[in-house]
Amino acid sequence: MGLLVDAVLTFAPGTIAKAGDNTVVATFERRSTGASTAEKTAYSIAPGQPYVFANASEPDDPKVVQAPTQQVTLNPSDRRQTLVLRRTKSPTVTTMVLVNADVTEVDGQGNPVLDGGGQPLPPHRSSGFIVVQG
Amino acid sequence: MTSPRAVVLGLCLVLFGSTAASARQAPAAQPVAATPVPGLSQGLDPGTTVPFELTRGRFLAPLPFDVQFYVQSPIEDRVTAVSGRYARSCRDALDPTSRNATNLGRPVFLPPTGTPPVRAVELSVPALSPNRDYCFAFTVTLKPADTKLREIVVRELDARLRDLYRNEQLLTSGPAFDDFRRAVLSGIRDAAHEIQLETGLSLRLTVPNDSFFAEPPPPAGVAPAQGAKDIRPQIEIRPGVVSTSINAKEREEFARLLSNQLGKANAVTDFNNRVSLGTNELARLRKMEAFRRMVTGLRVNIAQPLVQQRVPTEAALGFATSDPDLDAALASGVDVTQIATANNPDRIWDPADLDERVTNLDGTIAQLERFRQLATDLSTPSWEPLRDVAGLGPRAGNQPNPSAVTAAEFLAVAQQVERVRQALLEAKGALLNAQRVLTARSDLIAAAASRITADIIDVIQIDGTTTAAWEMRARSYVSVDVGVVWSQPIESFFFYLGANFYLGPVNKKAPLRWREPGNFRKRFAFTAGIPINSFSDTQMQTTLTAGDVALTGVLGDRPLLLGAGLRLNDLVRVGSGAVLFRVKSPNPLITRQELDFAWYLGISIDWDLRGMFAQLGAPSGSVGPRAGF
Repeated sequence: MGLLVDAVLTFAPGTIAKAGDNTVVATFERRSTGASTAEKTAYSIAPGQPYVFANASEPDDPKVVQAPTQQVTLNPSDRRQTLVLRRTKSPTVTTMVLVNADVTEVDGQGNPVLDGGGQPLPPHRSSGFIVVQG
Repeated sequence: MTSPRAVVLGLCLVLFGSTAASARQAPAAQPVAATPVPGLSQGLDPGTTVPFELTRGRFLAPLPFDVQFYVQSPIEDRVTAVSGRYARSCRDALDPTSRNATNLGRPVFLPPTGTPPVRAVELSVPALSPNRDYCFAFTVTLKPADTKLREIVVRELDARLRDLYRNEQLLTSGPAFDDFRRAVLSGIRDAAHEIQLETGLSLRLTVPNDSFFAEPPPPAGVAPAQGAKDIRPQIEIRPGVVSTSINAKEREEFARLLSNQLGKANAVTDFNNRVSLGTNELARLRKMEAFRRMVTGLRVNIAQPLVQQRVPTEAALGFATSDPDLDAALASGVDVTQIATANNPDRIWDPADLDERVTNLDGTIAQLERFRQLATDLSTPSWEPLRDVAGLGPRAGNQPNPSAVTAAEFLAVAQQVERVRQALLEAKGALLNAQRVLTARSDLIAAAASRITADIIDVIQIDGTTTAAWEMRARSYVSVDVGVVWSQPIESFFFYLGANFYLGPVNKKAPLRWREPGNFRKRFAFTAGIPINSFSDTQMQTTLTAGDVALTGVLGDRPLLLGAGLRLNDLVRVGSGAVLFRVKSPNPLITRQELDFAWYLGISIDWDLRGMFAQLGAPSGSVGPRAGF
């Protein structure tokens, strides 16, 4: 139990083209506060941005990629996830795309860890901007 | 009077003497060091150096006229180029396209001298006419003070980004992004304006069109604001292909910076969530009866050696004994005795400001760790002696102990304490995260500022223009005239001593050339003189209409010469005019003398007598007013 997550999400490459599918690898570092634990991460594109994930987990929710559970130990390690961004039709001029990663601590069955009151622990958030070519 | 042979000999002597005096004046191109006559132009030697203060636009000595001279000014090390123009008006001098202005010569940068060593620049100024107004415009190209520029960029980026805190996503829209750039540029222009006021320089900033610091194009359909004139320096886009975007490198750099700031917001949110979690878990712990019994038993029996081994002082139970109303402060690392002055992490931008919270949290986490271990230990048979000594065993003497805590209850307490500890560990981790991103944010801003400043040094040219007006006011010139005249009507040669009254200032140090302007002013003068020798009593003339008459003077026994003349060269003057004299009647019965005149032609030495003696007597390098008497 106990998770520490780097609050900044980085991308490689840091710039995507205006049109077409753009593949980037999102990375953040995380570790446990002691004993091994696990986390599940949901990547999402901030509302109002004319982009979706071409590799979204659910067709009904194209702005979210749900990554599988991963073990986390005391040793810091990078969580990497491939994201494919696709622009949607919009008159908006966009300079950057904001992507958030919400990291939830889970138990061995993949269920969220609960607090002493039986409520799921709030997720940790990591965020980053991807540059859209001008 | 005198014979023609004596006249020629005397003239040669005068010429020789004057030439010798001029030769002794030759090494005259010395810097002006004497106290100048404020506001009065001087007739100095060609090549004179006039001290000048470029940044303040002030001549420190009167300007000479009719001769080429130099202006010399100390300059800062960051000055890379200097140019100058002058005209009759500042408007023409400042307008690079004006044909009414004259460019000064190429600047010469002199090596540093003095203590501390100071560089100087020297520019040649062509001959100026007296009694005219001139305006000099000097343009100084400065290598920007990179430290100051870096500070400005850091300050502006930092301040504008803070304004965006928790709204960073706004900048994903093009117009908002451009607005942000405009705001940063506006701040830089404010700072540049301050530099202008500080230094007196007019600054011009130019940037490539794809720079983050290029003014974004105005939004479509928005007319430029019509308001009060903006006196701040403009940031001009250098010639090139017009682009609406900034270059990829700067954009990625900025995205990293923005991500980092959003990271701080995430970390603080995470911290707040974990503080709430820790507060709730602490409240649950306090509600546990077994926990309360443990704390009470340990405090009551703290003097027992076994207890003291695990709980040396009451401070070790600080988290358990503090006021429950202060649990949020405890969980957030705030010193409970200084809650009123606690800072809000959202408003903290210096990572060091979070150090105290981290330290306090460390202390609480350590207490929780020890307490958790104690509760775990007390659940095991090997620690029953301690349990009993602490009054937590199943019996109190021969009676059942109402404060007894079972093994399961010890474990439940340990588990809840661990929940609190984990929440606080995560809160501390979030604080460290916030510190890390704040440090990285400062580093990113500094790195961006350094790169940008380096770009600015390479590509931004800052020109400073300063003007200096000068009225070439000078006294009219009067010189000594020594020469010989011949008057045919009275058939006389005679030496005379006189004065030449010029119609304007004349710089006798300036070489006299027909091809240069101002010839009439420099050459023409009215002359008044008197012969050196008087008319003798026997002076008789037979060519006057009155027949044989005797002549006598009008000033005592000397006639008066009134005329005008032209300087042929630096020394020799020719002139003509009238000799005024009185005529004695041949009739001895008539004593009244008639005033009469005869024309004359003359050649003379236009002698700057006072200037010559001043030069001979003055220390080297000094000057004095030489124009006129």
